[in-house]
Amino acid sequence: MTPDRDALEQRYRNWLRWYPRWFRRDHAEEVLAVLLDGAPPEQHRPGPAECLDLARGGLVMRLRPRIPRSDRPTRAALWFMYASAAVGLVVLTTLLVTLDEVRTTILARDPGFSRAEWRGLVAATFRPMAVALALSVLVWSSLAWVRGRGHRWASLAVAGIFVENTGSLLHGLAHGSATYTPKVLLAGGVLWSLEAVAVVLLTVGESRRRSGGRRRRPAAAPTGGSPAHRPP
Amino acid sequence: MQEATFLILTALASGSQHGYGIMADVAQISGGRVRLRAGTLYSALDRLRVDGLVRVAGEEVVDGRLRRYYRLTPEGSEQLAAEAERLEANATAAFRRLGLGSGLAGGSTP
Repeated sequence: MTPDRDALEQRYRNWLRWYPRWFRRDHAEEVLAVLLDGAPPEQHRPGPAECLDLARGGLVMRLRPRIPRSDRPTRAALWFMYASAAVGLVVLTTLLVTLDEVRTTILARDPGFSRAEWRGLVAATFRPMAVALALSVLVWSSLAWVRGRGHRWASLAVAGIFVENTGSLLHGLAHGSATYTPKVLLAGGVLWSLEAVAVVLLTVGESRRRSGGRRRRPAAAPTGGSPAHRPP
Repeated sequence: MQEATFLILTALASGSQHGYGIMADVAQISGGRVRLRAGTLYSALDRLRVDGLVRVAGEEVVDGRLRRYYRLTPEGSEQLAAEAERLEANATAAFRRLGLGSGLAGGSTP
């Protein structure tokens, strides 16, 4: 192989770093062969369109759920989980933006409400709520991504977190969240509903997979080649 | 079904092919209009494998380079046939409304 060809191969290898490790392990040599087969002899560096295509392909491979299209409940559940994270972000922003409005409402009801009392309320209620929301955004988006990678334990984690969230929501409503603006309460309700739908869909997907697996198992025949889906 | 997916499945319909072969075949089937790049091809192949429409048929080493061959699964063949029927029905309806009978190949080109 010529030095130019070696340099081209090395550059292609560098661009393949956009792909996840499991893909590189299984397919890097194969993709490299295709790239080199398609490169004219005089080419010694990848073209801009090739680089963009490899970067885009790598990102798609990292972010796209690896759930079959036939598993519609689970794919829909992922959408609801991401939507829940997005709404959580909106709720968090609303909480921070409407803090002054909340204080004004309290002052209108109780003109003697002092600055120190407000600080105490922020520290005891609003700050923990903001932290909880930020964590919720992080956790729901992460679990959606993890479940999308094919890790089924994430479904159990989602169900557990949903139960915990429901308890926290009920506890919050029963202990002073009445000072909240209706908009934030509405957003909280939407958030909870999205999470509830996600949990139901994940459960449906899981139960279909189990019943389908039981039905298919006796008829399963040995097949050649690699499995259709290798979990990363 | 996206056009690239349809063309990849069509390229695999007559037998197993390796990545570069699929790219060349897709260009030929589409009359040079669709030219897949490696990133797009392997992204599509990965999705088709996850969906159970394509599977690895084997691999070999040629000139020190790995070649992996892909082929349609029975489900992939079914989906390709269903999509081809849908496209044919749409095309027939379009030709009929354009007054071109069963298509340009029928000799009724204006």
